[in-house]
Amino acid sequence: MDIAIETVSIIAAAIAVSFGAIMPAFAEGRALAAAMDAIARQPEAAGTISRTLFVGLAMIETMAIYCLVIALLLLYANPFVG
Amino acid sequence: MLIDWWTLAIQTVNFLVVVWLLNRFLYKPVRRIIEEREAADVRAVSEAKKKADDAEAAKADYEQKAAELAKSQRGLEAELHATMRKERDTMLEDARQEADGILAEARERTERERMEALEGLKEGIADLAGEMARKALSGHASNGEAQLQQVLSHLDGLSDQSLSDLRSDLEDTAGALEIVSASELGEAERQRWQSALERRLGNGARIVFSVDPSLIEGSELHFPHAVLSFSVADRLRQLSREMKPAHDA
Amino acid sequence: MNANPLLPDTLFHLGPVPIGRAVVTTWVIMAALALFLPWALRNPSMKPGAVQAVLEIVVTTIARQLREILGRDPWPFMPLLGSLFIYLCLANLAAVFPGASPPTGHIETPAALALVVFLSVHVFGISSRGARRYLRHYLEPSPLLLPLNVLSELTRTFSLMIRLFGNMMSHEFVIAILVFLAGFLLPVPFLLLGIMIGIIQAYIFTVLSAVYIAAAVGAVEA
Repeated sequence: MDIAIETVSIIAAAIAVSFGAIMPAFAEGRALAAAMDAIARQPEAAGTISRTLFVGLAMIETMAIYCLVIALLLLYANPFVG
Repeated sequence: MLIDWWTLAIQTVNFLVVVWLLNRFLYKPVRRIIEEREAADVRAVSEAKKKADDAEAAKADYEQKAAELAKSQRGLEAELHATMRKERDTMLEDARQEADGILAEARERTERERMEALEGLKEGIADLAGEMARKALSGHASNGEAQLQQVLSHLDGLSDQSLSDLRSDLEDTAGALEIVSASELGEAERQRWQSALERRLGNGARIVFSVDPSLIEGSELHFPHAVLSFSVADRLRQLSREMKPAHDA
Repeated sequence: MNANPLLPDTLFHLGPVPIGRAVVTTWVIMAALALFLPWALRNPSMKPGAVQAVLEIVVTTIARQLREILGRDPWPFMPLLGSLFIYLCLANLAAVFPGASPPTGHIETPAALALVVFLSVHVFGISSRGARRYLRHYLEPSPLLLPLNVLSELTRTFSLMIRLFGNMMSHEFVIAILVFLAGFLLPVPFLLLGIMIGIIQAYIFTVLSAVYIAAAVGAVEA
């Protein structure tokens, strides 16, 4: 029983990290493309744009972090194990 | 359970202590410094503004004084000009009066001199007239006999050439010898004149007698082309002709 | 690879109270601040020295950013929000010291900060708008949305906590894995990346807290 739960937890953690990596990566790519487009149009606003970009990337990355936290919970702090 | 509640509580208290620390030792001093600096800025700005105002006031004061000075200067100049004009007018008036005086005096003197010269001239004229009369009348025969003697002596005094010219003049033209006298000659006198002239001028001469009172005294012999004058009028005419150039000069 | 990043690592016990690494690190930070700041600002002058100028620049920059977010005088909020930023920067950068780990890499410290923010949002809201008007804004735009408003109040606090904790913990975890795999030199670029992440997370935590407080005091809708 424990073995089954642990196996399922590991698979679930892998799936969570996978999707948690795919979609934020896609989103970060779009944000980066938009930021570079904006800098190309308005080089004088590069400072403001890149600062906002970093903050936005961090916010997007937070979604991946959420997935990672869930995965770690499943791996190390699984409430159904022991 | 994963969360250690003790740690959570301690960290909460810790963070509140951090807030107090930073508020006490960082925000308040920095804020006080910033406000002091802003106050100093405001003070400096107000002081600068005050200085600018003072400078402005000083400038306005200076400009007003300069304007007053210029005004008083203009007044002095105007006064000076007026004084100068008045003095000039006075001087001109004086000079004009003086010139008028000099002119009047000169005119008066000229008038006086002219009068004196006129007086002198009148005397000279009187003298001259007297002289002329004396000269005209001097040596002049007054009666008919003496006149004849005078004419004859003149004819005798002429050269042969002249005498013959007169003679031929009378003969050639068959003209008459006109004897003009100032007063009417008597018959005897006429006979004497005729005989005496025929003796000198030839027999063929026709002799006529006429009277002209303008001769004043004496007689004239009118040949066809020549006149021999022995009259006072002629003498006077000659004298005045002699005096004329001197009079003109 | 058996280190569980989710477990608190207790160093010693003070009576019944377990003292974790995070608490000790925070105490060190507090001691450093308590010693450094009075020395740096021992006689603040109108013409600052280098240290005082740096401190003034930090404070005025935070105040300017907060003024842009709050749209009002930032000084009443400076003790909380400015301290959040400064403490988070120092705590997140603790990783650069050998043997030290960021206190925010464990769930308790972000939870404590999020709790403080959660409470102070209501304190600021009530003190600036009055209790009735502040509580009424949970009924807007419709009383039907009251459960959703309360739920969003809780979840945003929870997300604030998890965001900070997850970023710092996962970074620590990634570095631990890299050290386990490559050992030497390879983690150095990731440590540099960790500095940037730490500062960005401190900025995000502070800005989001400021936005929540601004919404509570009625400066902006959020």
